Amino acid sequence: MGAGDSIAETGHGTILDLTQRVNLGEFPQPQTSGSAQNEFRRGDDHLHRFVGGEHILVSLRRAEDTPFFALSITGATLWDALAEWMSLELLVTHLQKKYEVEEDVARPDVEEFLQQLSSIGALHERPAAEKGNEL
Amino acid sequence: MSCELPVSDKSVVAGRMQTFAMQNRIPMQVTVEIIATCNFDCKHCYIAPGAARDDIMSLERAELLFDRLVEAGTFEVLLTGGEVLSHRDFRAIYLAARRRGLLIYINTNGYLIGERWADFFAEFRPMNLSISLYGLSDKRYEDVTGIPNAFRRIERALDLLDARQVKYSLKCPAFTLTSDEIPGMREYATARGVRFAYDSSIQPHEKGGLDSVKMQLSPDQVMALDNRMDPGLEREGEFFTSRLRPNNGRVYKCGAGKIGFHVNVRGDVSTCVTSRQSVGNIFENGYEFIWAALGNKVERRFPEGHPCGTCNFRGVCFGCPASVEALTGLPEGYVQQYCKITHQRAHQLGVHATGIPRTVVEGIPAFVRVPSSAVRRALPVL
Repeated sequence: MGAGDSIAETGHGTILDLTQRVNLGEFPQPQTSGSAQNEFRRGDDHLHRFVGGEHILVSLRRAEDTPFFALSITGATLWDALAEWMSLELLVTHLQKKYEVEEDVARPDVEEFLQQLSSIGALHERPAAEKGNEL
Repeated sequence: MSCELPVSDKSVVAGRMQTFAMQNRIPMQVTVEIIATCNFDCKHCYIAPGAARDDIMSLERAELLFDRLVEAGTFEVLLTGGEVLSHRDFRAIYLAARRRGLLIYINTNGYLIGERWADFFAEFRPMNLSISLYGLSDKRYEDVTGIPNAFRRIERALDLLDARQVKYSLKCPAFTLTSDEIPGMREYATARGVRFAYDSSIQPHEKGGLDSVKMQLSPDQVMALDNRMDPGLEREGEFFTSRLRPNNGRVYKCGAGKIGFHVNVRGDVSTCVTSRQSVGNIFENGYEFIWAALGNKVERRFPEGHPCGTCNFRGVCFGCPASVEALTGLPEGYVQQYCKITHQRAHQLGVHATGIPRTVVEGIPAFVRVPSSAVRRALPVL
């Protein structure tokens, strides 16, 4: 490449403009069954990174239009827990222990988070009977 | 407490990351030159003319580098060259970077993009393909790149990318062989619905050749082009005035060496893609060494009495430290050519009375490093 191939393409320096990279748009309709009997595990198409002071879920999917998502710290906690098959109850308990919050606070957040992960294709779900789970 | 994926304002998270990286000096953005050779023979290029056939970063080294960058906190990587698509392991290198959670940008001349590359980029979308445009006809392309029938191939490449909705932008270095077509290129890009950028700064060859510098536009030509592209410098004015502030004496005002750096094919590290002065080799010296060395470099201040040390236009100067370094050997050198362009812009925007740099009247202090006589002869007449 020749002159003018600066990263910023503006001719005004080398800092990339990071704005508008987080392109979540509207979430599709949740796809989780919502069943308390089911178990969940994170998918393999997203990678959690702590970068620039933020918990980021980077999409590794092939033709993914949304390159990354931002996670709250509690979301990151749940994502890490979802490395194994986890029931809703276990996730709620995990969050309660970690952040010392009441169940009626933790449960709706966990449910919503699972639905959001499901909507971006980052969650596997199966009936609990298939295999036991553990924290 | 909320676990939800925040969606309130898309730019907020990105802005926070940028600020955090600046405050904590994290190399969020790194450019990686994976190949120095090119399938074009551009008259203005500062890299490929001096490149050896084996100036290629191997897949193994690229993977080693990406691992190190991820550890260091890098989020965005620009793969550049040379012509990256002529690297035989480009696909593997690109996918290796993506697998590590890096966001990938690509510089390319687009010539090699046929159905297969277009399909590949549709399947594994980069953040952006930044494609160099060198004219709007085969004739102009041949004049600049030495390659016949190139424009029609570029157009086909863009059509293929458009058909697959692969994101790309167009850019062109503005110099004597391209400047007259720059406005038309912007129209062309607009018609395709993509961004266009141009840059009038031309660097000398990496190994010292000055042929490219001879094709740089003169200050008057730069101003004429800027005004054609941006009548009255309306858009430039917003940027310019927003960055006017008292000079703190620091040489580097950008994020070079603070939130990013450049790695060439051999692993030599410099402040940015424009700078060719290495502070060390990331494979031989290690990341900690090169990051510390970059930190020392970008902390430099102008010595007392340096004309740039008190200039309030420092943040908008046509000559960034890397481009000044390329012509003088020092980032804190002085290129009157660039200073004049900056002052002419300031004058047109009403923030400088005469548009004539102080050094034209008072002279340049003897201790300030200026371009050699050979470089001065190569530069267009002031």
